Amino acid sequence: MRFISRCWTILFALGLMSGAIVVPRQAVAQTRTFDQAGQSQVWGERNAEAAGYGGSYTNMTTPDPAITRGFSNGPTGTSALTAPPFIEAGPTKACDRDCGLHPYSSAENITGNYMENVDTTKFLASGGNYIYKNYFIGNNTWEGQWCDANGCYVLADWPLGTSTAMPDVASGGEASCLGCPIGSLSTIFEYMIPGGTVTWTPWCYTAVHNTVGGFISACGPNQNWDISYP
Amino acid sequence: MLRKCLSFKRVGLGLALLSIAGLFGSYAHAQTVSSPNMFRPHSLLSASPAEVGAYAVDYTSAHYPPLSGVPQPILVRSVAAAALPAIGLAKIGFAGEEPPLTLAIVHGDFDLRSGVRTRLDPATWHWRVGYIAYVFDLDAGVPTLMQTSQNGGDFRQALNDPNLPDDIPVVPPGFAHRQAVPMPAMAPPSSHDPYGSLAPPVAPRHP
Repeated sequence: MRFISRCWTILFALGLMSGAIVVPRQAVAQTRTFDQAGQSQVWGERNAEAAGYGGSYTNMTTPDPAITRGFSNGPTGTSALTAPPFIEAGPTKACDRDCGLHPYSSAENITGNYMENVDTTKFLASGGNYIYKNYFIGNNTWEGQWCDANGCYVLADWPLGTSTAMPDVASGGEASCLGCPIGSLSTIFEYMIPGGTVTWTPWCYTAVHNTVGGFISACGPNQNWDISYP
Repeated sequence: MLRKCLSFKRVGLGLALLSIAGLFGSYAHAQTVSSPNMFRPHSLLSASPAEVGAYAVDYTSAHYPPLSGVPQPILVRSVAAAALPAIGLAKIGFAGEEPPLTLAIVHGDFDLRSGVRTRLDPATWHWRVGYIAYVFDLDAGVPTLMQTSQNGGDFRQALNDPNLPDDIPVVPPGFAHRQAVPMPAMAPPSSHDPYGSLAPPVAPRHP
């Protein structure tokens, strides 16, 4: 019996090493704050300002996980936390399109209708740093933007149907299903616009949203943190 | 020990069990990712409007599975990005040269939950929608813009149908914060980089 048990141990180890046996990633301990579309989500967020947030800004490197379907994003944005509206922008590996690395912006208006734009005309460098920002531009419309070394560009003007500052600002990574890899990214010089002002203000996260037990570093002196869920 | 384990009969039995374990492992792994997406994008530069409509239905079925009925393309037309706000759709920008674009609106009964870039609990937004509007980049054969509407009310202008009903919020916005102060929208770039070019990374900087 002991001999058979040792054989199975050896064979199981060989199976694991060969990839024939795959351990589901859901087995990883999860600290879910609330269900958000069944995605891998690891980000830092803040909702400490009673005035809310009229915009967000970050420098973010481009995650490039080994995926062939779905997507991996590095969103920075503002939201009503547990309900629409929201707006975000960031890098995406868009395997729901051409599997290229592109800038994107997505949003939901106050009625809860979803919208997204992926700029398919430019490719991002894997691991390269780019700037992403979102803010209110008037007429109940919010704008998502991104910048490379050549300049800054509009991703989309989203008619969100509100001019009210949103209660949450967040920055990190997400992928299209629970357990899907996000990859690794670094974010630095995080800024937000407090409601009622036009002043870009540095922020550090006060809470972590982590549905998959991914890594998030502490907020550094340059409002910087790292995310990893390879 | 290893030699005994690897005797012919035991290796055969072991391989058979490994195969079963491998199949089980693959199945378990498959449950951790999105449903298989076998859609293969291709250029639509020479496609007819009818072909783009059928392509939009195929793209939709691959990414936002129909919950009932058969999806139908109800509008397919060439469009320039600058013309989108005039028909009630979002203004979008491109960093590269604007490719030929086609607006395609598909009507059906779609489940958005597994395929969109949202951070919110599906209990709070319209994950089940009747209308999806795409602006296809015909060069790449993939949508750049995607907008959704539960009942079509957001697409009254695009579809020229004033009778399409309003979409009602699933959860009324409950925030009571200060008004956001508008800041200037970004001006369009004076020139565009070549289509499909690599964006040069930028050194991190403050706003």
